[in-house]
Amino acid sequence: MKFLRIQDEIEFSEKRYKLKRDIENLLLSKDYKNIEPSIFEDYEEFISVNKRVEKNTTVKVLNGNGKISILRPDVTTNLIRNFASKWEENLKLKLFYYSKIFKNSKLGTKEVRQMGIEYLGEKEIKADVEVINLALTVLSKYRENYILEMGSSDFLNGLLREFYFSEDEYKKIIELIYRKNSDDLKIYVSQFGRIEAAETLKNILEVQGSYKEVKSIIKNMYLNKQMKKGIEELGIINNYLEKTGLADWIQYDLSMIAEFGYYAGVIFKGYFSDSNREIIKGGRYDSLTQEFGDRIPAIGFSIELDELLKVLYRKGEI
Amino acid sequence: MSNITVAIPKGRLGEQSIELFKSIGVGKKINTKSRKLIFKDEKNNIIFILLKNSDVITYVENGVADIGIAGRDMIMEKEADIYQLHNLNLGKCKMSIAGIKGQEVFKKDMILRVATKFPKISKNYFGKKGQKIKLIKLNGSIELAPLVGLSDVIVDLVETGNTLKANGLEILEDMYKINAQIISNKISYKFKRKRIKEIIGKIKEIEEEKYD
Repeated sequence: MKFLRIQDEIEFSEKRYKLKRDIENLLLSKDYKNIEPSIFEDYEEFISVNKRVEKNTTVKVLNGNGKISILRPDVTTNLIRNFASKWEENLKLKLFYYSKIFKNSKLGTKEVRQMGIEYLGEKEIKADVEVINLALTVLSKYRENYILEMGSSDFLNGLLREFYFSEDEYKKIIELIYRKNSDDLKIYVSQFGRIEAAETLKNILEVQGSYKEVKSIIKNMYLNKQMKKGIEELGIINNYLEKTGLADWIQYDLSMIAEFGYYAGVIFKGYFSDSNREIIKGGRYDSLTQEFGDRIPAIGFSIELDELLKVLYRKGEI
Repeated sequence: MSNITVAIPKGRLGEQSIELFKSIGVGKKINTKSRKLIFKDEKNNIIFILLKNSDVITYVENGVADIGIAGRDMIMEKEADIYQLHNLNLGKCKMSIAGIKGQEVFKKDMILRVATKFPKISKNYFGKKGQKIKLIKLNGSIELAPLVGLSDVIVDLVETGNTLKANGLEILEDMYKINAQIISNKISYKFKRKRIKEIIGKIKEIEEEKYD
């Protein structure tokens, strides 16, 4: 058996650099500007904004003044805090970053390289379409067989708002939806009454496929404005994307749950058939900006660079 | 059409699942008496792999198997990032806490010693109740632990209760109902959703027929 040599390590590093440059060039050509976010986050602040993040996965650092900081578990929060507090009206920013995020796992602290973009200040649909198109461009650059999965946190949150769940119940529901555990979900939801909403929630895991398919399942099952807004937005975005010819690679899943609680609006994830992880994830997060200042239209995504590199390297494509 | 790889556990649950698959017309060639571990159903583009019970989830989570059959006990214990697509009417039992019959074990101020194959489930369960415990991870013959003084109680699967009874133990509390589930790799589900749903749909039909 042969083990890793210095030579191999440097070659690999070179390849990673090349891949990074490749994507950077693409982003630069679309007028995105590079920024370098800070590595530290205030622990309390981060947890209060991101309720779904497992607290023990964050990497904590004790400050000189006895306060707890964490090494950034995601770049978006960091970036928005910096810009939202001093936002100027009519500003439009297209930004990209290359940086590491940190998380604790069973095997120790992990560093994950991420590249990402954020589009701030542009009207919702216009930015949505442009950013999703960019995500599709990145995915299609490396693979023919890919999927961009899209959902709407407005639709799901709107539906869940119809109930009055306790925090534990809410967590349980989210877990069942996340795991597509439809049999258990149906049983669990039955105890909450709210018959109309419960019927929709029980069938939420069936609402998948092309936009047409999704629309035909949902018909007019909106229980409130938020749900209606969610599905209509997807419809408009889909209309635009159909014109680009990339819509065939999009799958809608209205039960999609985002890792970070701050997404409100369209959310999406990109997959390759030969990778066991997400390659791209992102969404609209205007509500996060409000936590730190004015409400600014904001959408973005991140690319899992390590995973992308691994997939390409395994097949000798880089 | 690309293949679907199905992970089947060895043992009784496996035998029952194979029977289920055969009843929907796939995996006709599977023969558990032979030593082969891979069976290809070329007509239906399905590959079956036979694995140790606890490895099914690992294979599915890592995407080398697209779907699999696994007990809820294992799914809970491994906390794996997978989809739990369908509840099967197989592998039904319960997970319970048991101790020596008639013996008072629950001294609230003491650390309860718990012997089990399921350390994570036990830790979470007792943690929620605020009971301090010392976990003793065993791999088999869990019932022995309280008898020889290794633990105060055990957390284990109970089907008929006969093993407990034969060893002078009794159930102190039922924790969870257990059954087998069809699980799926998350990415496989995105790319092969229609086929996976078709297989599950057929299984549901068979189940309904049986039920009627």
